[in-house]
Amino acid sequence: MTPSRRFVLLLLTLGMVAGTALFVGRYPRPVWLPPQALREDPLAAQLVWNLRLPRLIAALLLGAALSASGFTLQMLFRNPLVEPGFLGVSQGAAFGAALSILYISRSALGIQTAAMLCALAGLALTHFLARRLRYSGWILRMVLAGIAVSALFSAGIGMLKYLADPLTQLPEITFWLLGGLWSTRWQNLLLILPLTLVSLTVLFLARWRLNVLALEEETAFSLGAAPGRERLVLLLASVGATSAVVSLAGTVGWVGLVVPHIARQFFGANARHALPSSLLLGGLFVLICDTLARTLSSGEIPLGILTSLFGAAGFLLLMVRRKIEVER
Amino acid sequence: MTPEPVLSLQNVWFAYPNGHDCVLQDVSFDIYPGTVNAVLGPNGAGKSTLLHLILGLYVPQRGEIRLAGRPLRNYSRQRLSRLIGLVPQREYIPFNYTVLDYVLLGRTPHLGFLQMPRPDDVRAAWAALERLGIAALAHRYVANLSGGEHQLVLIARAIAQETPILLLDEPTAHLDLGNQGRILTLLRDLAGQGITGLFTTHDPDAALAIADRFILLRGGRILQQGSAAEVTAESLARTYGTALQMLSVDGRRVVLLEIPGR
Amino acid sequence: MRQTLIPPLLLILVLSLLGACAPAAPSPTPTGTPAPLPSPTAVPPSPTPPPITVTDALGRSLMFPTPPQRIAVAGKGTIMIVDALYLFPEGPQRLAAVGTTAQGGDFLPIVDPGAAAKQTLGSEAGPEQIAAAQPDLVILKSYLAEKLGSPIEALGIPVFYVSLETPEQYLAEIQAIGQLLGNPARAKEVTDFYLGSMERVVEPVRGLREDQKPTVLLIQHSVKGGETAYAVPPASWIQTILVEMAGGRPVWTDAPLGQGWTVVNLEQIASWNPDQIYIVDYFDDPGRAVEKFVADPVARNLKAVQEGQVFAFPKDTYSWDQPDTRWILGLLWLARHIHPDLFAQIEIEQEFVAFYRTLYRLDEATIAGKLKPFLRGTLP
Repeated sequence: MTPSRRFVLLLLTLGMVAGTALFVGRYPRPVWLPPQALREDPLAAQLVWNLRLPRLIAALLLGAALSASGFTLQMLFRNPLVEPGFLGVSQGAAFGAALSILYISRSALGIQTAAMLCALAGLALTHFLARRLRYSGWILRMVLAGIAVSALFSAGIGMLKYLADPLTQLPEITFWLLGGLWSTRWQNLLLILPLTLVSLTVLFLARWRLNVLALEEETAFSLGAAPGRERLVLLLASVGATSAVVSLAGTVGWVGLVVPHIARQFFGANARHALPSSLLLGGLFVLICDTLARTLSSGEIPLGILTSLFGAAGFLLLMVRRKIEVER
Repeated sequence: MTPEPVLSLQNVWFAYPNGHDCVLQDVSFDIYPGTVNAVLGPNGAGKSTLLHLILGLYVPQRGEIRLAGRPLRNYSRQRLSRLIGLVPQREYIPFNYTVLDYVLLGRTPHLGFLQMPRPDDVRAAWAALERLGIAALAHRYVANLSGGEHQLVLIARAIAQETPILLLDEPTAHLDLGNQGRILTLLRDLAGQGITGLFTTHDPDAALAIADRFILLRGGRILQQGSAAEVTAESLARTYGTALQMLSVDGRRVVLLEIPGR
Repeated sequence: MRQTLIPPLLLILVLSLLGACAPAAPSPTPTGTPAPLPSPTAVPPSPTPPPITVTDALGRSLMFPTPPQRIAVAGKGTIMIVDALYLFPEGPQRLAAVGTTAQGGDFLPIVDPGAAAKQTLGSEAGPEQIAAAQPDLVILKSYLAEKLGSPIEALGIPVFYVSLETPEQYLAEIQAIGQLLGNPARAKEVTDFYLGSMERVVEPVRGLREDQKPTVLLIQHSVKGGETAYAVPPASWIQTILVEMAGGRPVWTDAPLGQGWTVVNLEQIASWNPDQIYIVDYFDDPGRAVEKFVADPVARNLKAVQEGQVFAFPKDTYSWDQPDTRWILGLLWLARHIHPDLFAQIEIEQEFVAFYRTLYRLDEATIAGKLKPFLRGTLP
């Protein structure tokens, strides 16, 4: 099957799953809401249009942004083991959010901005640290630096939690570290939509260029790329998308690491096909996880737990099955 | 009448930003269009650095590099990438592309920032693959290739780039005899079509086989430069710091390394 | 170049490790057995009182020759213990040190003018800081036994554990506290007050059939990270018990997954569609939480909203739904709302005044002037 056909298949699957998910939930009974109830029951209609639909879209965006971001970071750093969470981006975003809640502003816009700036700082710090290490291969250096920077930000978050007024500020900060979409309504979804869509569009359009930037510096240069500048643009887009969705959903891990690998397995390493399919696969993955999170029990299961569970399992599976060669 | 040099280095001095010693000292030479030029020298002589400077990756602290009469720094990066192509010595690829996709990357200089490859680009990539005789590898994954096949793919990519000047860093280093012959023949054919080649090599025989001009580099300085005929056993011996002889076989010269005790 | 990088790298690694480790309590240095310290200010003790033997919440028996004079209350949830101590006139005098509190701190100065000076312990105070206050008794919640209690006892300071989580525990443990403070008579007064109010509620409800009890949902409203969350308490907590005692049927008992508040989404609330909804808010005005809830376009279709059965759980300086001395007020108020026909005679304002007058010996002027301004919630 050619990549294009696979892509169409993926798109159709996503559409079907999304359409079905709209009718899955806890009302009126777990699991299924009969479509005719939309016409008969005003509460059902309200639930579906004002609660489930924005949440569904948010889940798709979250998955798409984290996957595209993870894919891009993996290409730019030539390192298949990175994701926004590993490089200090997610922790930085969480730290920025906590900082904003404590000292700057509690508005959603303020939190998002602080999250994005600190996420960028986290990434910059990781990259800087990795370059300075004269230790081993680039992959190992990035992972080590990422671990150190993430730990640093975690310590910072711990510090902020300690300083936080347990009355008002602490529960807000703790929320960030769990991850969940339960409070998604149209208002806060629309708030993150611009930054996310713009960033994802940039990443999508520049996917061929991403291939070039993944090459070594001298080769990329010889092919006419301005590695420094172009990398920066893509990094900004990547971090922008991540921090926007993290500000809505909190830190959700493993999506940015595993989904790009799965996408590459089925669509090849060429970013031309693998990036768009990462977007779709990521959206599908988080959509399924979030639907489970709000349906499995009467209490909300934190989204981060499910994505970590399935993400880590998927990763292990991939590692084990790597023995099989795929030749088209 | 001697034609204008397509590439000209004048009194170039270069040291890396965090290095202390000058890697290249007072290097000057001219490259003429449609010729094959070889840079010989021992390890660490500065051969790769020379290629990087010509590529424009680094800027010399002193001296000037001119391309078609204009200073190199006046060219935009995109323009440069359409004029000069590079085949690196080796490349580490963390992601498993197909050979065809990999060669297709060579078409990037002809694409805008957000543009996707067009059918013409795919055709050029196929043409490059066929020219190197590796069309059968098109759908194989790059990570599964042997060292030699890998090198052929790198060369194919540069060919697909369709640049008038080709820089090659040790192009025959991993190739078996058959493929060596193929590459050397290709370089000579390209020269015949007006494409200028400049390659570094450890192998004087390869250079002697096809190069029109030689540049002998040692310790960052040019020991000798000139036509192939001007290269002698002595100049090579001085370059490499080892004793050797030059023989003539059927009108072609080859180098014989002298190993004491035999 | 490599040499100059190692120190900063090490520093970063060490900092990361420090940050990752949970703050550990410093290991106690064993001292000799200290004698009880002389009391700074004491209620004049009766001549040669008998030694006091009490059993704490963990079933351990403690003996004191004389009532402890310097009591420290530490750990989390100190306000609930202090409120219990203050039921006794000796309470404010014997309390020497207490931690700072998130909620309810406004109440202490009203009952005890010297309260501010006693708030010397941090909320995360370790055994050393507690020992520095020189107490002769430390009262802790029973779940802190291993983490905080053992190290303190290793320093030779006796520890008394309380639970104070359910009505039964209150009745039992207030008696124990009364013995500790040397005033068992007062303890009886207090428990009689509680028993009396409880009977007023439990008796009329006793004969009701299940279908005569409305379905009730109790949720805590909070704003986290700019987002609104509604959470339900575990089935074992006092909130659930109060609803049941007041003759309601709690709908959420199968929800909670963990040991604490569990977030539920609007969809689940719609699925339960309870007859009544009670909204608790610890940090802001619950009345506003109720307004926000009923204004939500999705929630508007819920039965409870359409029938006007959404109520704000009252609080003064502390919310009445918690395992604090005020739970009895919460119970009376819940009964009044769950079965208005059975409990029409309950006047919450009067109960409020009676509570503070009887239990905390405050006069009407103080109650009206200092406590009433804090009163929030749906009050009929």
